[in-house]
Amino acid sequence: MLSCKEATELILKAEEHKISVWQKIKLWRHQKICVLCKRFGYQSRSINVLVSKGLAPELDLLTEIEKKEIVSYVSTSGLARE
Amino acid sequence: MAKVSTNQQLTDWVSTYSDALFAFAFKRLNDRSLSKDLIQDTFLSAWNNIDKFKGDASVKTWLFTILKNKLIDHYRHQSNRKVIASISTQSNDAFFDATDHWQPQAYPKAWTEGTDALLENKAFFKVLWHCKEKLKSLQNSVFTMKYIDGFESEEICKELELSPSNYWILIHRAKLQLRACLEINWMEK
Repeated sequence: MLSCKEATELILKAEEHKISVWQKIKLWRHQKICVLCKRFGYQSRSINVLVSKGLAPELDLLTEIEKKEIVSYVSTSGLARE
Repeated sequence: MAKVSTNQQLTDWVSTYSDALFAFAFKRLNDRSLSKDLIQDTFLSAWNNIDKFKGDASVKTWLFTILKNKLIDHYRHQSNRKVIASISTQSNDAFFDATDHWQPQAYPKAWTEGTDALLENKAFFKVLWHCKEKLKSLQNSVFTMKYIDGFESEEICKELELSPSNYWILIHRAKLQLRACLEINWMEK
């Protein structure tokens, strides 16, 4: 019988299709009786979608002054160009 | 393509592409000044290597390629021998007991909101990015490469010089922590 620690790790491996058929069966049997790990798996897949498709962190865009600083940094530290 | 060698052209590049580059970096790093530094280095590399730019890709694609390489350098920087050596010594005791079953205080609870309802929720994402920021730096880098950049685990192991078993420990721990943080700071509030 898998422990919950092993089961949660297998859940993550299964997301990448990196588990064997035998591991898959063991995981399925574990999740049939363990609502906690089942929940973990469900929420883990939800997190994957939220992180990849959800809103980006809010940011303050670069100001005009900061953009000028970038230009002056590059033109003074970079190779000399005509 | 026209030879880009004058200050005016550099100014044009910065005014045209810096916002998109900055947003791309910020999404991954969640750190304004670090993102700005990487953008600055991106333009510097572009400027210094303009002769190598063949013009068969667009300037935008070229700049993004440079930025992506800078980001990988940054992730790699989080992964050094000392950090890697400490991976196996940390434990998941906060989550699992001596028999490797869930600690009662760490029992995952049912979430009342579904994925679709959360996707456009600004307040939720504020919590999510805050929780991600609280991950240890190497965990955060592995997590970012996997779930935001979409790298395969083999590529992540190669770039960060991680063994597969260390990779799985990091992903496992990052997921456990992020999930718990979301539950405490969002689902239970």
